[in-house]
Amino acid sequence: MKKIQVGTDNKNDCVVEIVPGKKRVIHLLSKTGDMFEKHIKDLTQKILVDQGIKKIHITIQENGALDYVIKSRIEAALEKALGITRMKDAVKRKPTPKNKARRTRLYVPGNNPRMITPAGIYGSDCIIFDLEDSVPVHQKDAARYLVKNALRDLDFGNSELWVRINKDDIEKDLSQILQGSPQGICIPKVENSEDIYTIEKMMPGSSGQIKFMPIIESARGIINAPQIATASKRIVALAFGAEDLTHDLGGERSWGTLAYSRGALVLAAKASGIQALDTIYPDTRDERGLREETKKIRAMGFDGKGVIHPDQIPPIHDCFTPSTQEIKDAQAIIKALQEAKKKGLGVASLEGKMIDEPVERKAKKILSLAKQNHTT
Amino acid sequence: MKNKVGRDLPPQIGTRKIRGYRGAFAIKPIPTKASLPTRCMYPGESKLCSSLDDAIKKSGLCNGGTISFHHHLRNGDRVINRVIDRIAKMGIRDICLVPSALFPVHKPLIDHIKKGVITQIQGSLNGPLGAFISQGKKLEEPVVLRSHGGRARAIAAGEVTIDVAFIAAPIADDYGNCNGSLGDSAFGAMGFPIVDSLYAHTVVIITDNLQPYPVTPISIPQTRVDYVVCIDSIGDPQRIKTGTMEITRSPARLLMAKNVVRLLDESGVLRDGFSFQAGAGGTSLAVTKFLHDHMKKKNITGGFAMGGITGYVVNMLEDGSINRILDAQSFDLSAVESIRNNPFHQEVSHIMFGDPHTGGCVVNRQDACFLGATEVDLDFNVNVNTHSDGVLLHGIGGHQDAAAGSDITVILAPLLRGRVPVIREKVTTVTTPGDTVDVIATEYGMAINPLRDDIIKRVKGKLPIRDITDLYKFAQGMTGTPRKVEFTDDIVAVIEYRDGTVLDTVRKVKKG
Repeated sequence: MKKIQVGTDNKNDCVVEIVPGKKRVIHLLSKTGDMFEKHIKDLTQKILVDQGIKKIHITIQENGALDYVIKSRIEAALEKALGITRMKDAVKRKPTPKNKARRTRLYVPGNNPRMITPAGIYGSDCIIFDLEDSVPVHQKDAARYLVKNALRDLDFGNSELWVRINKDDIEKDLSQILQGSPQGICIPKVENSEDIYTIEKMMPGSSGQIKFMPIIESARGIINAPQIATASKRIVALAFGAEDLTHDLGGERSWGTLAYSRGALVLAAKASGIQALDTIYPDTRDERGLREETKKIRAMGFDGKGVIHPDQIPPIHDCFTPSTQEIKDAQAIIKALQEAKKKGLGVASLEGKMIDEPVERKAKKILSLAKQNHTT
Repeated sequence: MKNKVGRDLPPQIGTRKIRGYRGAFAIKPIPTKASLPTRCMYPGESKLCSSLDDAIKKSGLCNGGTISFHHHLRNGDRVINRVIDRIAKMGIRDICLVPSALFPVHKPLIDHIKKGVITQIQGSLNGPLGAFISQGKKLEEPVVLRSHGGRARAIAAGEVTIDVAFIAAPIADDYGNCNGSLGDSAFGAMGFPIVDSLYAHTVVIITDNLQPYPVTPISIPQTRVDYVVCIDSIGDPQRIKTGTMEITRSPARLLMAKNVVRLLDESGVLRDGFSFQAGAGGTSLAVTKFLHDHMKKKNITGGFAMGGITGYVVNMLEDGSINRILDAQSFDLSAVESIRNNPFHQEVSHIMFGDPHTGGCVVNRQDACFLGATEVDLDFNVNVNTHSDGVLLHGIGGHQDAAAGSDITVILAPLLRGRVPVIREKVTTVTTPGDTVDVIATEYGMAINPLRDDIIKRVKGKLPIRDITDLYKFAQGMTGTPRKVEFTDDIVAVIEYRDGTVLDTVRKVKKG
């Protein structure tokens, strides 16, 4: 066993260093003095005893790290040093409905405790803990443990919990994060149905409720979107990734460049009865631009948009909230139909316009969206 | 003897007989206050002194005397250290110091405590002096901490008799007329020294900017002044802002601030005539900014803002979002400029701000205030004085006054500071009693005091409201239970309530 170091000295994180020793020695340097000394040492002791490790020197330098962070850093260090990892039963979590609102999905870098801990307070419909692009290569191993323990130990309120995995490290990623029972897995850079089958095969039998969200971010992916959408019953939405796609197309990122691809993705999703979710808006300070783009993609049929800063959540929810006029119209339509049904008529008319089944469906959707946003 | 917030108090501390806290408005004052000193000054006589030594000598200060200072120059103050140095050199000892507050810049006073020049302190301690006192370097009597309003009350009631008030002023004439808003060392409102100048037996104005008679506007008039002395510099105006003056950038704290504005909106107080007090902490500044945005959007014109004034409040006055500013201390240079130029930016004393035993203080008219905390507890008691390690590090400020007076008192407290949970079963030190605190706003939701049924009814279902015990358990689930700090029996400080009763004591920390 050589000397191993895991974690960062950032706020809310800790650095765990282990070296071989003659017996079990735990050394703690805590920002809070002795306020949590016994607590943290007990926590560490328990992990070491659980894994049967007796000869080790472990130094924990904590800078406001919560229990789940300390645990994750120790577990990652032990795996790195000794190649051992103790698998735990997956935690219990209530599955979410297939058509749950997914107007916003907040991406949270998977190795950043300061961002992970409060991720549930912003009220996004989904949280995506990211193991992929926002995590530097040398932190990938540590991130897996952090995301797993965050999922196991923290309460993220009403947000649906997802993890974006690495396409070339699927097995390792799944082995850890499934212990945290995320409600869904985001699969990046999906190009065809084979990509989905590969992951489907790796899912254990007990994971029946876990959903998939393929992210389509290449020209080939867009062309194959219809087959991807139907590749697994787990798929509840197709997500659109603009950055890589723009690169793939060789164009510049603009509405025009991406218009066809967005349309193709919406078509493929809706033809399979699943949701279409748009890409993120990169400029976090440009609320006006965010609103404009969100209105456009909602009009195209998208059901939600990616979020990279909590400030983007309220404007997007706002754009997906029907206006007072829309709500009034929808209520009038439903009322007219109810009255027509009382009279035994299948079709009603309101201010000279015919109301039939598709109109009724649209009105009901508006009212359900409005209900989600507490405007009625 | 247990007081109303459940703290055990001895019947006597030092020479002081203790009356415990009985409720925010339970104490009625005795009918008369300290009498004002008389003075005489005949034509042809001069108040001007040749040096600080000359002024101290003429003031008649002797061993055992009580002297006061203000902290409007905050961490940029150059007067307190200098005056005490001169006093020490002149061989005067046994001084009782009554500052409105002391800052890290006043660390050299520790030496004077060790040498017996200073043997008593009645005032707020921020930083190294607090830490020194907490280690049990005991003065002859424990330090007495009072709120701004409470300090004004104690002076007016004659519970504190100031022999000499040394008052730093950035502009003065040779007869002592002065204000705080002109000159290179301008600091704005003179809320504290207006009080001291009324009741102190001798008043010395210390300026670095002597101007021809009469200096106007007049914050402290010549009628209360005995001596004037001019020195090279009273302070560094760039350092009068201390603590956080930048708006928070943490998304979690910004969310907290937004929710507070929603709470005020839903609870019905955010309408024309709305009045509030905001502080200078990063989250408090965010509340002020979001309030401003909201009021502009909804076309609401506020009545007044009380402060602790910052540039963020000045912006509200300047675009008509509020009608008046009442200012007892100016927190930044933009506030200083405003009080100098804008007739609707009114200076007030700390008697008017928060003395409970007057014909009514400004806090009584505040719809809302937003205050900080180092800890809060399940009874909504707030601690701003000691850190969770038990060390005395901050003064009370206007905390008790604003909380008692305002209709809705909001405490802005993150659920976790690093891994330290802010909600405790019992706070280490009670600074402000829970019966005057209405809302604890955290990033994980807001807890409303069950005493405020009316607010709960109005906002339930519309805002993230959580039971305080839930929030407490939620935090401890992530951090574990922190070890309790151990104290000795030595009382190093007394936390006085604004009415003169005792809320709590601070004891010497036991070394681990």
